Order: sequence, then structure tokens, then C-alpha cells
Amino acid sequence: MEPERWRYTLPLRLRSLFRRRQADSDLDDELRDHIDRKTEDFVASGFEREEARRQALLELGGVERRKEECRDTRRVTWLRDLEQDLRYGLRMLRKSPGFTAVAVLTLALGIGANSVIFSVVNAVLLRPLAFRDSGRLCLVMESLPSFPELGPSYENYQDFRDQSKSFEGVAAEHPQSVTMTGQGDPERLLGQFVSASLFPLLGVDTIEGHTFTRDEDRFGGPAVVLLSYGFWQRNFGGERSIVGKNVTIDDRSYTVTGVLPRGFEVVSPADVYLPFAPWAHALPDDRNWHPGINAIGRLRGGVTIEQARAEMSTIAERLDKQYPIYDTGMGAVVVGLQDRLVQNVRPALLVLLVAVALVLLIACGNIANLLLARAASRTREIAVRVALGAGRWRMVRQLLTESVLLAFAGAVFGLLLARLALTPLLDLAGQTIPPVGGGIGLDGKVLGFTLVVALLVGILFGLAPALQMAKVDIRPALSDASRGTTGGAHRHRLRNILVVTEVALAIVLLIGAGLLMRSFSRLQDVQPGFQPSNLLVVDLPLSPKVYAQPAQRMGFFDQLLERARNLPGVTSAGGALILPVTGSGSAIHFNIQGRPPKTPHDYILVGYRPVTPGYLRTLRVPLLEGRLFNDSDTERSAYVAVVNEAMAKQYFPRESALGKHVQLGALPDNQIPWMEIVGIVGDMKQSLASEAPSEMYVPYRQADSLIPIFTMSLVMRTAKDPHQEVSALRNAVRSLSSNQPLVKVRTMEENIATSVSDSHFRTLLLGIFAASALLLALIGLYGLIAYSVAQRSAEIGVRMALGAQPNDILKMVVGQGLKLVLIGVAAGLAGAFVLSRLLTQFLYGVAPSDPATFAGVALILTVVAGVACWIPARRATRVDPIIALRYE
Amino acid sequence: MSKPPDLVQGTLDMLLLKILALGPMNGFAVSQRLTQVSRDVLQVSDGSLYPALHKLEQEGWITAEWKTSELGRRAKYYSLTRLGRRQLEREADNWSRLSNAISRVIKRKEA
Repeated sequence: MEPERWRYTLPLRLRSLFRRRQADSDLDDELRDHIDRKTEDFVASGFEREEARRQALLELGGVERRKEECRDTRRVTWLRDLEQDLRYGLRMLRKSPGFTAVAVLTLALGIGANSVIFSVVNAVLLRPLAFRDSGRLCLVMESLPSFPELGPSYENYQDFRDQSKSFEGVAAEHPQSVTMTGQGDPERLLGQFVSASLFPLLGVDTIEGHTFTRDEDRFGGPAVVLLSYGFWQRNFGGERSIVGKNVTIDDRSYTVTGVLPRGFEVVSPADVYLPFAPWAHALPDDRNWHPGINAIGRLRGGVTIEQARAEMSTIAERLDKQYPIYDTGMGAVVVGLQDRLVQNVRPALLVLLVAVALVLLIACGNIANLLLARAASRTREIAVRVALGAGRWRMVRQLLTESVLLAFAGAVFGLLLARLALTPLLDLAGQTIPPVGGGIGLDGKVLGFTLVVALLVGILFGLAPALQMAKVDIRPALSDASRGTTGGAHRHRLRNILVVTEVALAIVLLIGAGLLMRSFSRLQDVQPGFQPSNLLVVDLPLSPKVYAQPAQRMGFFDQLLERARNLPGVTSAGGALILPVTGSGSAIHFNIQGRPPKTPHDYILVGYRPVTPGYLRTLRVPLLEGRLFNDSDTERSAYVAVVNEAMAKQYFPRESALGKHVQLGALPDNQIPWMEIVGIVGDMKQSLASEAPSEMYVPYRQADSLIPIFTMSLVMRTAKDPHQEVSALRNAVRSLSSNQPLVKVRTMEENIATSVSDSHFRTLLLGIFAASALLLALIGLYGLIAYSVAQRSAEIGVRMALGAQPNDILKMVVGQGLKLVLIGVAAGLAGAFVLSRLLTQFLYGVAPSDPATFAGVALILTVVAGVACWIPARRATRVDPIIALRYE
Repeated sequence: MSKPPDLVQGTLDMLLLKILALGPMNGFAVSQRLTQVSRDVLQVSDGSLYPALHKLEQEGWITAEWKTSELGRRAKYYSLTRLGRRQLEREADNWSRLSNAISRVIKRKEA
């Protein structure tokens, strides 16, 4: 019946909304036509034409006034209905504050969680990077047989840049920490070497001063620096006059040429930007030297990324032929810049988004159930209104308005919760969420998303109850006998389906969370290959200018280690270039004496580890064969190396590695010293989730003579809590050099925890969501059983009067609930079996269909669900048959 | 929304539907017919007619189309929709029930 009405009314409404002018001129015509006819009428009955027209106007009572009234009717009908619905809805919600509070709170949690996760998804995955036409920006990388993707060497970057035609331009960037002095305490800053071409390529300009010119980006050019907005604000109070002034970076004076706009960030965050060419000039002339250059290209208009890939592959092949020793097996990789930046976080975010959506669905199920329960008590109210002439459609609309109103109230509180939760969430996420220009917050898009979600959710949980209520049969509903029997089987079935679904969804989430938790605990149980407790760690980057001479820096490290070892609470100390379990490393080519490589990629050492003599002892790495380093292993003595078990097995599978000689560099070269393998130690993990790679340890002093080393991570084993030694450590460093920054003082255990923070973050979050899902499903189940007990109190009374024991009643009620739970569990297990595959990449040591997790979750849920049924069931056994029957 | 001061809203709606049930007609014709039917007992001014017609149109009870009038101008012709016919039946029912009830009350008083 209603759709037919729309046929007439919808075009009218649309017209008065969007074609107001047309509607008004129609109205003019209509009234003029009336006046003309009336005038003719009066003329016919003998009036003068003037007088006739005056009379006609008079009878109409003022054209403008009538027009206004007609316009009113246009506006009014639908606005009036809406206003009425809203007013009525508000009144109904106010009338049952308990229901409203529970519903709004449930929805606020569900919607708020969605808003928070969406705000991250929006900022990280949906929002384009803050560069001009950022969709056309790509990363250009090399691929080698042993490394499918890595930043190009400097020479290859230059050839890619100069030979490609697919790109408007290719620019380069290399992140490297630097030290700023002369502004209070020495400060370690995130630096980036960037080519002058980068800023025009990205379409970014400074807000003060100017970006690098070509003349500034060359070897021997002026020492210049650009500041990030955040650093400028933080360290220079946003003072404009900083441009043109000098700052000291790595003991060299740099002139500030400009300040970059707020939020500017390319690939990784940075405080200061330095010209690329002077840095690149210091690189060895080696196409196999991959220092970590990010080459960023902008696709030329009309060129697709596939075309660019094809072209770059051709160039790579050509370089491969041209430089056979260096670029053997080389290829090129082109990926979208944004795709690459978010590739690690995308799957986890999508999983979390699905998880919060499921939580919201469960919340909807609960509210729908509450509404259905309320429907019983509102049957009479609805019946009265229908009897008084309200159309059924009008009733559905009224009820939907109520539920959408609830959803919006939930959304408002949800946004408040989201606002409160976002900051702690981002703190928790730390490095898990990649840096995005513009930051993460509740912006217009998130607001819009929340409102749309609220509207959909309101309709979703309100529709079934509304349709059900509008179907109410007036006569029985209005007669007194109806009490307690309303709704009937259909309504019960609907409520049962809702609860079964909730249980199933909760199972899916719980299993997801369970799998991640088991993975995480497996990860925590991984033995890193050394004793991580009671170790204090600090990074000490030296100034390349002050410590230009090897004797200077090695002397500093020796003195420092000496002082550290002699601190009262310290039992031993050592230093390494790269610590274990950091996920990072520096791969390097090597070769074995007497076994020259067939191709340059035969021997790749994943872990090249310069360490001081005390390091392996301090970590308590087990020595398997041979010896560890001594203080006598210096640049003046014979070159030695210690390898780990993995390396010994990989390269010397059927013989002892002891006594073999190895050399850095892909091809044998008599200029480079041969190192004798003097010891074999146990494997240390470089990442908890993967097997230890091949590693070779080299004495610090010998390593420095091969490749200069300007930084060291100092490790001290302490007798008690390592945190107690922090100030002693600081003093020890200060006493040697007041300009020496201490970077990231932490314990080894904290260091390891950082390496699994991604896993921790998603596990914790999914755990929270799964727990909420469980709680909501239990509340839903409890509500259903409690309600059904209340409804059936008369029946239960009869049963008891006929001799049923409390135990029988208990069994009956709990049985009714458990039946639903078991159906839900079965459905949930099936769903989880399919969906848990999505988690595969996050799992460690646990299969996606891990039987223990599945069985455990099913069991736990069934037990707690049993309790949720048992509470109202026990109340049922207390039904007094006499009271229950009296009401019949 | 302003109410016609001279006639109960519902009654005017019913009268207009009733008139249009005879066939499509122009606003002016409706006003003439209205005067005729009510035999000047019910005072319906031209002023309250048009807002009332527009309201019925918004409810979907009557629909309008534009034709060229015999005066050669654009004129709006209203006709009853199926919904309008049903509404008319309902209102007529209500009306007769109400007037029956009223007359019964009056008779009882007389008795």
C-alpha cells in the first residue's frame, strides 16, 4: 500500500526539494489561472473588469499569503512526520531509561571501536600520501638472486634515473641518524640525505626559506640543512629567523636553508634533511654496495606501472650484461610508494576492522533481542495506535526512527570513547603503524563513517523488531487475555537465531584471538640463544669528524668498556655493531680460501657482526668449538673470526669450520686480509620468529680496519636489576666525553619485546575485541534465558504443581540454552575454520586450524554459557507455583 | 500550517475528495462545485481551497497534471488517485458512523 503512495508523493517531494523554482512558478500559474477565471465569472455577472479582478483577488485573500500556505503544505507533511517520529521516539527512550542506557552503552562501545579502527585505516590505507598526485609515485628497487627486493646501489640508482623514460624523474633518499650538538645536551636526530630533485618531484615546497638547489646537492657544495616542521617547532620554537643561521650536525656547521611543511615525511620520519650527493660521494665505487637508498620515481602521464616495470627490467638486464661481475642476476622492481609503505600493516588492520565489525554485529544482536523483548510489552501500545488509524508502515517507520535514534546516541558516545581511546591505542601501536602525513585522528571522514555505520546499524537491529511489532494482531493484543503469550513461536525463533548467531560470531573472534595468543606465547618461549636477563644496552654513535682516526674511536670504545666493566654493579661488558633480535642486519659478500665462487652471489653472509672481545662472553653465548676473541685480537695481530653454528653447517657441512680462512668481498682479493675461523658458537636469533641466519663475528678493531665503524651498542651484564645502573652508565660516558649522546638506554629484554611489538599489538587488540564479543554474547544469552524464564513462569508453575522437581526445571531451562549455544558453537567453529586462514601470516608455531585452540575455545565458551543459563534457571526453580498460577 | 478557519480540516478534505471523485477538474471548477454542493451553508473561501488541494496532493490522495485550458493558458487539473478513493471511503465511513452516533446521542436526549 505504501509504495503506491510513494509513486505520487516521491516526485512531488523531490521536486520541492530540488526544483523549488519550477514548483513556485507552477504555483504562480495555478493561482493566476484561478483569478482569471474568477474575473471572467464576475464580468459575466455584470461587474466592470477592474472591479471583477479586485473581487477575485479579494476572495482569494491575498495571493502571497496563499502561496506561502501552499508552500507550507509541501514542506510540512514529511518534516512533520519526521518531527513527530523523533519526538515520540525520544519520549519512548526517556520512558525506559534502563533499556536506553544499556542499549546506548553497548552501541557506544561497538561503534566507538569501529570509529577508532576506521580512523587508523582511513589515515593509513585510504588517505593518499600528502604529495601532489601521490598515486603516481613509485619505489624503484633492485632484485638480486639472494634478495628479491632491495634499495639500489648508488651506481645502479644513477643508471635507473638517467636511462628510464617511464618516469618524469627519479629522486633518492637515505635515512641516517645524526648528532646535533651546541644546543644543550647532544641530541641524536633522525636525518635523511635527500637529492635536490626530491622536493619538486613530490610537489612539496618549504614554508620558510627554500629547498635544496642543484648547486647545494653536490660534493663540495655548501653545508646546508632543511628542518622538519616538528623539529623546528620543538627545538627552535618555530622561530622564522632560523633560516640562514647555523647548526652543528656531526660536528660540522650547517646553514639552515628552509623549513618543510607540517606533516612532511617521505618513507620514514626525519628531523633534518641533508643533501644527498656529498653523502653518496663517500660510498665505495661498487655496484654491489647497497647502503639503503630509496629511489622514488614519478610515473610520466599515461605510463602505467606495468609499463614502467617492463622498462626497468630491460634496463636491469642491460646493466647485468654491462657489468657482469657486479650485477649478475640483477632485476628491477617497481612498486607503488603507498602500497609499499602500508604493506606490512594492511593485513593486520583489515583483520582488526573485521573483528570490530563482528563485535558491532554482536552488539546489534543484543539490542535487537532487547527490542524484541520490549516488543511484547509494547504490543498494546502499538495495537492502540494502529486501531486509532496509524498505518502499519507508519508504525514501522516510527519504530525504526526509535532504533536509529538509539544508534545515533550510541554513535555520539562512541565517538567520545573513540576520542579517549585513540591516543593510548596509537601509543600502544608505536612503530606498528607506519608514519602517515597528516596524522591519525577523528576527522570528517571518520565522522561520516561513524554516522553511516550508526544509520545502518540502527536499521539493522531495528528492522526485525519493527516488522514484527507492526504485524501485531489488534484484537487479541487489546484484550486482557493476551498478557504473557504475545509474539508466539515466530518471535521466539527470531530471538533464538539472534543468540545463536552471536555465539557463532563470538567463537570466530575468540578463536582468532586464541590463535594469536598462542603464537605470541610461543614467540615468547623462543630461546634467543643467549641469556637476555640482567643486560643493559645503549647505542653510542660517534661523531665521524671528531673520531676520524681509527685509533681515536677504538681508543674511546676501549676506555668506555674499561669503565663500564669496573662499575660496581656490572659483572662484564662488551660491544657490538648490531645486537641480536633486532630484525636488522647487514648482509655482505664473502669468499672462502681455496673455494673461489662461480658467481658473485655464491657466498652471502647474512650477519656480519663486529664485536668486542668481551661481547660474546657477556651475552653468555655457548662456545661449541675453538675459542672466543681475546684482547690480543687487534688490527696488528692475525685476522680471526668466530662463526655461528648455522654458518658452520651451511658452508662447511662435512668438515670442521675451524682453521678455515674466509675473506670479505665477493671475489678473492689479495689486498683484503684472510680471516681464520678460530671458534664456533651457538646460534643467536636475529628475529624470534625465524631461524638464526648464518653469522660471522669479527673483532671490533679488525673489522674497523676493513670497514670503518662509528657506532657501538654497549652491553653490560649487571648483578641486579639493570635499570639501577643507568645513571652510573651515563656518568661513565659523560666522564669520557660530554658531547657523546646516549641513544636508547634499555634492557636487553625490553629490546626483545620491541622486536615483537607488532605481534603484541595485534594480539592485545584482537584479544580485547574477542573478550568484548564473548561478554556481549553472554549477556545476550543470559537475557534470552532470563526473559524466557519470566515468560514461562506460569508454565513452570504448572509443571512444579504437577510434581516436577527443581532439578528437572533447572535441566529444562539450562538445556534450552545449551542447545542454542551448541548450535552457535558448531556454526562458529565452521566459520572460524574458514576464516582463521586469514591469520596464517601472523601465526608462529601454530596452525590456523590448531585443534587445541578450537577445542579450548569451544569448551570455555560452552562452560561460561552454561553459567549464563544457569543463573536465570536457578531463579526459575524458585517459582512459587501458587503465585505463578494466580496470574493466569 | 494554517487551518481554514471556517471548516473543520477533515471535513474539507472529505468534501474535496468527494468532488474530485466526479472526475478531473481545475481548481476554479472545484471552488465553484464546492459552493454548489455545500449550498452556501459551509463557507469555504477560495483562500483555503488551494492549500487544502496541495495538502491532498502531498498525501498522495489526489494527483495533478498540467493541461492547456480553454483560455489557452497552462492550467492545473486535479484528479483522485486510488489511494484517494480509498481514503474517501474510509472518511465517509467514519463520517457516517460519527454522525449516526451524534444523532443517536441527540435522539436519546430528546427521548
